[in-house]
Amino acid sequence: MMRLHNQSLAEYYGKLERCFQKADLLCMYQMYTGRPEDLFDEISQLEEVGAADVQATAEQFLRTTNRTVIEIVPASRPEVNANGH
Amino acid sequence: MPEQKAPISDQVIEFAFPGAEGFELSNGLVVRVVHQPVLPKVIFRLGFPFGDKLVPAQLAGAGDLLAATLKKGTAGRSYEEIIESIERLGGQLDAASSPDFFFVSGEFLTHTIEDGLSLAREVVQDPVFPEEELAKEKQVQLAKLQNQKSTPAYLATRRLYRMLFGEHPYAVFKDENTLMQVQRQDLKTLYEQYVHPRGAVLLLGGDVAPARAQYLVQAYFGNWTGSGNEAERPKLLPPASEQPQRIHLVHRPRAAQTTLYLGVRLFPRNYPDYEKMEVTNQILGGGASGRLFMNLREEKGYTYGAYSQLHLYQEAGFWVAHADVRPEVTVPALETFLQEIEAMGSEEVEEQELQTAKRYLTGVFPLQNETVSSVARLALEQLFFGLPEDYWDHYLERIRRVTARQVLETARRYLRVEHLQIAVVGDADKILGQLETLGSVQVFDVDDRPLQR
Repeated sequence: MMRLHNQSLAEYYGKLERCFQKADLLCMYQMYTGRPEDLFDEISQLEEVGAADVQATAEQFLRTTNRTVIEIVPASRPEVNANGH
Repeated sequence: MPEQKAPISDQVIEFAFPGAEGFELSNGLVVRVVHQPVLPKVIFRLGFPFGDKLVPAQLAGAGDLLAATLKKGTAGRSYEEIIESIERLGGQLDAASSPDFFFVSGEFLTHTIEDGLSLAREVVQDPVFPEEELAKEKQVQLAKLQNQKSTPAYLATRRLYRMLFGEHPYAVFKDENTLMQVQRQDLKTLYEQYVHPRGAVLLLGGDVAPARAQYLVQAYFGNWTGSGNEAERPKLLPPASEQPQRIHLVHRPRAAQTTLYLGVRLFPRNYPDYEKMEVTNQILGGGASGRLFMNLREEKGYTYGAYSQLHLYQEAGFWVAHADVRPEVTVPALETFLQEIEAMGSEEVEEQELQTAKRYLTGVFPLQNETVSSVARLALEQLFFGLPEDYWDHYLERIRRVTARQVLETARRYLRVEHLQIAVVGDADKILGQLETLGSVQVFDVDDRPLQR
């Protein structure tokens, strides 16, 4: 959980470094919640997340019945000549 | 309906360089602190005056391998343990090699910076370069190289460096043989010779006050020793004098486009004509309003984009213009490049065009340098290229002072068509005949070996 918190914090502060990106995020919160200031609560919300929350979320969403699998099977390898083409 | 245009502000954007506090440790390490407590994070960059130019040519690529294996194991920790620690601290720690310098950079949160620096200390001062990690890294580099060799930009760049710099180490490129040649002992030798505190610079930036920085640096880099052997440092000769105009073609069978790179040698980064050349370049090929773009793309429709750039190193530099064009217009496109380059040196630029270029350069600079790491890069650029201490305080003013007359003189002095080195990548079967109407053409294969055609 310490790793998760530190990484989330680093990622969050990384997003706030540039004016343009900050403006983009404020705009996103305005669109989704109508409260641009929610951007600044992200961090306290992240800090409240505990191991049990992660487990509950995984149980809720990461179910086999909620899963899509794509398998890509290459037909055959293309021929490569001496020049790498 | 009348066209609605957003108003354009004519306000001058100012950039105040935050200023760096400096001190030196008794082991020779030079420290700079740029205190910018805007967010709770701290970055550091440890720079060494050791670049690829000092790596023996037969071991080309050893700088990259040294950078890649530095954090792959220390006296006390395995690679997995190091990675796990970095992740747990929510940080980043990386090393990189460049033509003139070698860097170890990191970024941590204010509350994890001490652990981060402790980890950096271990990686920088006690690396063991595990044999199996070197072997793995060679495979990674080989795969990267294979990938690069499939891109015309790489093929053109490599040929151009060789045309511009001849025997100078700036023209040395790693290949499969030189990469495989590098042994663990070579990395250890390079490390001992060059990765030590004497001559190195450690820059700390962000949420770190000078007093705290002093404590951290003393605690983790104060006892570091080593100084290399000055006598064994290779003495580099300046690049040989310039060649007359030449055309070299890298034959890329069935290439759908022709890639054109036109370059001319310039001065090193610390030269006083730098800002004049930057403005000149901006007008000619700095962006989508540059003359090359307007002519080659908008007017003639030869290409999706045509641009030019400056590449300036410690000992020399060059200017390059480039575009990918349809094979059938290879020669007309080349001729258009030559006309535009010559025009820069024959007539003074209009005031409006000059102002647009200067406004772009001065306007984009504060945007490019709003992060703590970009400010750190500026501070290191000033130190490593020997620029004046207050260089960044006057940089924008120097750009704004450039006149139309100076642009003309700069173009005449440096953009000399008679010394232009032209590297072309494309299908020789389609374009060699065309190109030969301009003069003799030397042909190379994708491994840069001369081809008889």
